Amino acid sequence: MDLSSVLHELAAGEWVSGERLGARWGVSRAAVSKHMKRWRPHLEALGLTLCSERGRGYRLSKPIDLLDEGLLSAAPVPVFARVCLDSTQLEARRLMLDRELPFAVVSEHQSSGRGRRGRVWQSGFAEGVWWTMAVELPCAPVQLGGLSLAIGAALGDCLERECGVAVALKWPNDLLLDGGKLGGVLLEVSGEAEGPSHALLGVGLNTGRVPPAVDGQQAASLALGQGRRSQLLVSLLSACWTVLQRYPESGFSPWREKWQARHAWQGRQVSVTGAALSEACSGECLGVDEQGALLLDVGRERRRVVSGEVSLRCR
Amino acid sequence: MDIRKVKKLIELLEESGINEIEIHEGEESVRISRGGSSTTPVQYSVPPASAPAATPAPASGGDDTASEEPIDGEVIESPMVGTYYAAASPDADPFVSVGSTVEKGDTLCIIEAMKIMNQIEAECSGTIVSVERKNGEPVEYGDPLFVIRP
Repeated sequence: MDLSSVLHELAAGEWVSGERLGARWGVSRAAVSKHMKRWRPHLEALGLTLCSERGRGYRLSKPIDLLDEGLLSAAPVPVFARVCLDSTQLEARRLMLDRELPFAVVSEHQSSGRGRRGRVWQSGFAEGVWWTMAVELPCAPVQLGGLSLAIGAALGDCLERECGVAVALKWPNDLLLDGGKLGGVLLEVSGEAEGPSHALLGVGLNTGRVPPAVDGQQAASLALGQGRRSQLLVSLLSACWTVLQRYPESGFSPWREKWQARHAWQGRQVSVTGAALSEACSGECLGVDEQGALLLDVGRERRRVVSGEVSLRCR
Repeated sequence: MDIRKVKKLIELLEESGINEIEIHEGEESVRISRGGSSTTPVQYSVPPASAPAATPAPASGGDDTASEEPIDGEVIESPMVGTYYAAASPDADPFVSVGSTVEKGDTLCIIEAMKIMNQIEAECSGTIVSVERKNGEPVEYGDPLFVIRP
């Protein structure tokens, strides 16, 4: 019995008797008990609590909404669905060695999901959709400057269509819902100077419980109903795929207006900080240019920012 | 300017009580300073059509042998504007350091812009003889990042 089949039997969060599990797996009740004992710590490591009671059997303390591999086959690229991973970016990098591009990797859980610069991305079991899409693009790596913004704009449109939510964007590529962080995009690019480029597009979105705030930043979640993750994931993968196919030729321009229409802080006073800035700069947020760089009106001049952390300026 | 000469200058500065030194040599200049806030201790100023590192530096009074023996090497330049990162994450080891041997295609560093992590790859196999940037520093298009001796 692998972890995946244990999870599938218990996903509903209701009692399942040892006899029934034994019949499903073709083993004795004693063997079921042994298996469950073996898997209990693994389940706990994933944040899941296994309850057992004499006469009633086994259940998870809460129902989980597992991804449905059958539904995922409708995605525009092959999808590798995993139960738990270190991170989908790392798994994609491993798979790239002997799999044909493009493909996508999704996981119910990530033990070290990655945010920017090694920050851990909170990924509670089946509480979100996190995936990495690995693609080869017919252009130089440096031409992909605005790609993460284009992806953010496309994800915003997709979520509005699919879930009826108004997603805002924070430069360069955070997705916000009611001011809380709903998700983010991480793009890793490599390749020879003239191309082609290999891109690992990582996206994480909260769909279940709202994760705790990190560094004072509130989180947000789509709070999807049971059974909707797989279908939403297929739609999101399709939205990303459409951008990836078009971007090498078009660049960021077709998404610039869409991005600015969703820009959370357009026209607001913001500060940009970062190791790469000799001094913090503050000013009115004018939007983004054709390459996706942030434009600030700092009084006498316009500043173009390509790297840094943006925050609303306190009055 | 020959990297070894710069290195020598840094050593000289360290041995002396001087805080800052600026050397002009033809069109090139280098300023090296020390101090608490040393975010950019070495500042290069290279003319647009700079000579490759393999070109011998002009003889300068025969102060030492190092400056007359230029390093053979290929300069890896930044293909973009962004933030330089020496490692995949803040607690990871740097991809390369001086003395590392690299194969063509190995990752040398990451340059981040607009949250895109651009892995800069070695254009040739060889040994890293110089690392020109510090973790977290800004880089401009064409800034030297590494010198690799094939």
